[in-house]
Amino acid sequence: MADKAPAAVEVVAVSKRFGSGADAVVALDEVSLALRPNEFFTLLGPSGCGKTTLLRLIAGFEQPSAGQILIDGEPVAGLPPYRRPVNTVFQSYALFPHMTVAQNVAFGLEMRRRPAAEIAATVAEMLALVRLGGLEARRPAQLSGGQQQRVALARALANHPKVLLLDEPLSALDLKLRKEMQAELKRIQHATGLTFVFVTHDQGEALTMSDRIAVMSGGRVLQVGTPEDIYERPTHRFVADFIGDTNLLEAECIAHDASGSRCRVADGIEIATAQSAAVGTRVTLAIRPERVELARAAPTGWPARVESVTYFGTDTTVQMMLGGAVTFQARVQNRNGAVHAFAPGDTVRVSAPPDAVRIVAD
Amino acid sequence: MASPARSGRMLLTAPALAIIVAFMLLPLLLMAYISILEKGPAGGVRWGAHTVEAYVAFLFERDLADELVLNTDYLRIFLRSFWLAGLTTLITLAIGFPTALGMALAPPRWRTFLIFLVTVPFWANLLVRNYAWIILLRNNGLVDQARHAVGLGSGPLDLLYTPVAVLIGLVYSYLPFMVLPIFASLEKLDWRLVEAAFDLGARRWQALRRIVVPLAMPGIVAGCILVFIPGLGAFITPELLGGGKALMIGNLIQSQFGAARNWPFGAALSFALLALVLLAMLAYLLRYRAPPGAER
Ligand SMILES: Nc1ncnc2c1ncn2[C@@H]1O[C@H](COP(=O)(O)OP(=O)(O)OP(=O)(O)O)[C@@H](O)[C@H]1O
Ligand SMILES: [Mg+2]
Repeated sequence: MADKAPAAVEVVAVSKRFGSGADAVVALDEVSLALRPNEFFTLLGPSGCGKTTLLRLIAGFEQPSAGQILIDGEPVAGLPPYRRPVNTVFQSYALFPHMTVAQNVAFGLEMRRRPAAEIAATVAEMLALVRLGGLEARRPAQLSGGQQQRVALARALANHPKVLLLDEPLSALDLKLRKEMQAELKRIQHATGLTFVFVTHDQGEALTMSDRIAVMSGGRVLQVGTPEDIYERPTHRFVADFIGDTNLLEAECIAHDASGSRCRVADGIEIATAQSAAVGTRVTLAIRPERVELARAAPTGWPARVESVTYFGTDTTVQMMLGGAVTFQARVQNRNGAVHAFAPGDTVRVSAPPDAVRIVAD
Repeated sequence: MASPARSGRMLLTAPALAIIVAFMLLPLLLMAYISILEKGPAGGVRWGAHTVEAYVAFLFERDLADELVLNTDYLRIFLRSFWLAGLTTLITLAIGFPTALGMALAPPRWRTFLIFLVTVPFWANLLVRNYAWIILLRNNGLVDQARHAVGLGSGPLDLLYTPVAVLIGLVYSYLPFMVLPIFASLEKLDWRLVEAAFDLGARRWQALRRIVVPLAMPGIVAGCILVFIPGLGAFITPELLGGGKALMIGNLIQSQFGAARNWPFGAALSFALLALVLLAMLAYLLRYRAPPGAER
């Protein structure tokens, strides 16, 4: 880590098992992460990969089976949730149905026995922050989904935590509201300067909102990086496949020099990559469709036959067969009528710049 | 004009209405009528002879000169009944709530068994269960023997045939009626709310007081009603465990229809009880018409 400040949250080789014996479930397997202060950090992964479990460990609802967690440099092992400088926005919001909006937001402050005047001021401030002024006296049942979500946010923020944990806070909202709340969350994160740990299984959401993303699968963290790192330079087959569309090609490394390596996908189809691999190893290559270049009559490139052409508005996806056996797709921007440039049955030449060809681990 | 949908609905509720009229309203009206009749010379009533004597008799008796003088005997029995039923409600609540909470927090595969345990007493007749308490509570009964065995004093406790014995019997008999409704509402409770309370800094008891109890309030209220109202009218337990020294309204009413052969007075007592219960319910409804926790 480049910066000297202690990590806002540090997760050190944490494992979590549920149950014991033969039917034990390993929800987290040696997860290590270091979150920087003021960071919008996203945990991204498919259902059941352990995202909620990791949040619950940080919040203190569960204890790790192995490893340790530090918040602001302090180990928190054994600390109950109410002693941790962390608050959670639950996936189900978990608003107290028998309390008004204002009472919900005031709850944490009342538990910490703050003076009444301070509570009133903080509640007003938080409701203004999430733009819910005027709804103080409503009950959760009288609010829309987006409004409930904001109350949950205000309630967690009112406690002035150091770290805010958000467990798929937007998954219950419709698309439009979701976009709105994404912007809202970013605005609030800027305004408060807090560390946000945001859980989602929506890759688009993760890419647009995060400072950094940890991609999880099967209880492990596969890759941590900026959205650009994750998208442009995936390290694992799973990461490349989970985020965006990708072409995955099985290949064998046949040559290797300072500028990278050459890999053979099939007879006559050789691809250059900027990464290096030992000659003779089997590798998986990931190539984003939009980095693929298609030409009708280029002298270089691999020959491919067009199978289908699909129009997507801003771009067109061309599905091809490489060397008669490998399916492959390219995405062409719809400028100058690209959709009419290719038709099924055409023979085209395909190429990709070496830096767009990534060697990924399985 | 009733719309077709509406008259259809009326038709569907007709059987329920018929049952309520036949088995609730008609007997009640009959009792109301009996309470304003003169009592017959050898029990029963003199049909057609109307008087409010039975209601007067609740507070007054006639002395030798046929003057009305205040008689608080019956009032005292009423007060004792309310006192015993109220105390029973409080004690069953104090025992029942933690029990229900424990059941709701138990692993799901245990719950059915725990519910079964709570309902086991219903398998034996109420009479039998009260006799069992006589065996337990009587002088040198099992309670005394157990006490002596562990060296807690000697000599009898003289528990049986006291209001305390009645209270013990009532608490025992009505405890399941407190536990089950509270359990039902706790079982439905969204425990994620409790987790949210912990997350916001609540300790256990704060979460209990601010989240669990308010959300379980419908069950708590139902339990209190189910214990208090039958408790008011209880007559087997005070008869057997109170030994005639801790009479309750139920015993009084029973004796008017039985040994005392004063049907109008028995009916009037029943109506006085009904009126008080209705008043209590009304007061409760006025207090709790808003959803629980609305006021604060
Ligand atoms: N209390 C528990 N007891 C047993 N197994 C559990 C428990 N909680 C989670 N698990 C298991 O741990 C794994 C990870 O669960 P977790 O809830 O963390 O997933 P998630 O990534 O949050 O998924 P989702 O996107 O569906 O919310 C799952 O296989 C789940 O079945
Ligand atoms: Mg989850």
